[in-house]
Amino acid sequence: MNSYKIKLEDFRSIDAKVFTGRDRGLTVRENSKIDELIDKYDIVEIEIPSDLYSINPSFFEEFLYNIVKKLGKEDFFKRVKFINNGEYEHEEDLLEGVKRILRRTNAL
Amino acid sequence: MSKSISQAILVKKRLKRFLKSLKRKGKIKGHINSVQAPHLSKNLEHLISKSNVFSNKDYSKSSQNKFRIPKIFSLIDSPDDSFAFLKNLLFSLSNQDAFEVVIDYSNCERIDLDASICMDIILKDFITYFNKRSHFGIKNSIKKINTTGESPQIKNFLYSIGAYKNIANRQNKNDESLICYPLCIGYRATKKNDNRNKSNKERDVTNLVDYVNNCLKKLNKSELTAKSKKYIADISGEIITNAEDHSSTNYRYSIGYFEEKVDENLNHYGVFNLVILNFGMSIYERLTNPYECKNSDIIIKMKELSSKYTKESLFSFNEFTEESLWTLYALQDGVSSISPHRGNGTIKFMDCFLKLKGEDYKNDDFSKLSLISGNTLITFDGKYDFKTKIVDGEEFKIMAFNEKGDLDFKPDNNYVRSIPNYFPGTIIIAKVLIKDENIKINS
Repeated sequence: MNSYKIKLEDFRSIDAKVFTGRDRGLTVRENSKIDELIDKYDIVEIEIPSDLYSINPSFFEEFLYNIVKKLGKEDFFKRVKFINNGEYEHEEDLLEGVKRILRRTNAL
Repeated sequence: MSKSISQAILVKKRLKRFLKSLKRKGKIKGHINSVQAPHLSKNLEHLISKSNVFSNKDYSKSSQNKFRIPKIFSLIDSPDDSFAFLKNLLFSLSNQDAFEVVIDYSNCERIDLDASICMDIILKDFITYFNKRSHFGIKNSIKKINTTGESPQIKNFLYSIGAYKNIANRQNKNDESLICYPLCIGYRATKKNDNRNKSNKERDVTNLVDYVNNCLKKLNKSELTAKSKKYIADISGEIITNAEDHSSTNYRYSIGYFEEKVDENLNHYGVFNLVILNFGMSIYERLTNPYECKNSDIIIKMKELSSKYTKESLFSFNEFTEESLWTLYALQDGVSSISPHRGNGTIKFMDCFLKLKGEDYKNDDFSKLSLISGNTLITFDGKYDFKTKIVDGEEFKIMAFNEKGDLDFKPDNNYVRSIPNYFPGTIIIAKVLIKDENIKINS
């Protein structure tokens, strides 16, 4: 299986320890070329900086929007792996972001 | 035509006459429209265009050009006086009614950050405008803006997080009783390749988390847990993003300060005050504007709900209106004026805020979240729980502010209501109690 690693450190804003906002998610999606990488590689690894405070679900939502829509929830988690050695626990925010992508309706 | 709109037009007409006079004297080449003449900021243009901005009372020209700050300067706890003050100051500066404007603090015993920052933004934008006009060679009627009557406590606030700091950048270095998250101004970039602003937002959020953490260190407490840092980052990140995305003037502001308190058992804890705001359309105005609200499904559903409320006579003028209802609904999970798959920021903010208060949040007398948008005030203090609603097999978090936890039933009037004063945009005012359970235990 071939794999590729995306380091979020390469896309971090200067002096920032968060990734937040859909606009930033879109920027990182485009700059990292993750939509193309998922077609080329079996596994895409995303490395989270170890001193991060938070990755906002809105960021995940936009960053991963196309690949979650394409792969679906199950295949997404099979093919996209997160490497996180810091204190920040990304799972809850990631799941929330994926859930929002797959949402079909709203509260009303 | 309203007085305010005609006033805005008058400002432009005067400027145009001045430019034409410069052209006649040969000081401008080319068409006057090509000249980058000084103009009011988008914020100020928006504010003076609305005759009911801040207060329903007519603008009252101060005969002595003195503007007395209310005893309690707070949009929540002294709204009538505070909103009226802001309106009078705004139009006095716009009309340039006098040679000197004096802001009188002699009656003021308490300043809240929400009212203070609104005043600072107005003053800051006008001072910038007057300076540009002077540089351009246009005379200003107003020559000075001064203050008077500040008590030592008020002066300390002004130097730390108030007007002296935000406008003149004057700081009192000796007094550290207030620990501050300085004013952060964000601007929504209109060009696709302009990434500067996007970076500012993440820096502002990081700085906010660091500030809370540093405050705890200064209070000889240990650090926030990783989970609390995440929650604070999530809170501020979502709301700052919303404030920016939904600002029709493209600006958003955030500011805060942290103060130590001691309870009757001599327990130390911290209260973090935070204000995030934008000027522009209110939430309701955005939803009812066909050019602003791109999510037509939401509008259909909201209109159906309005019909239901109308049939059951649940609306009452000056107490609970369609605006109150739609503003409440706009905060819910999955609702957005921008697109169908957005709409999670404010409800997430409230959820995170609730968790940050800790297990005994219901007994917490300090923590409170207030949102004012247009003529609607929503207050959240943890009395009502979130309910989970299942729609088409999917779960959503609902905050209905009633015992049933159901949006089809009228919310508690103490928590969601119409107010007589109009806020021209959206402001969120938070007081967050940081307790020991949020603190990492040193090994």
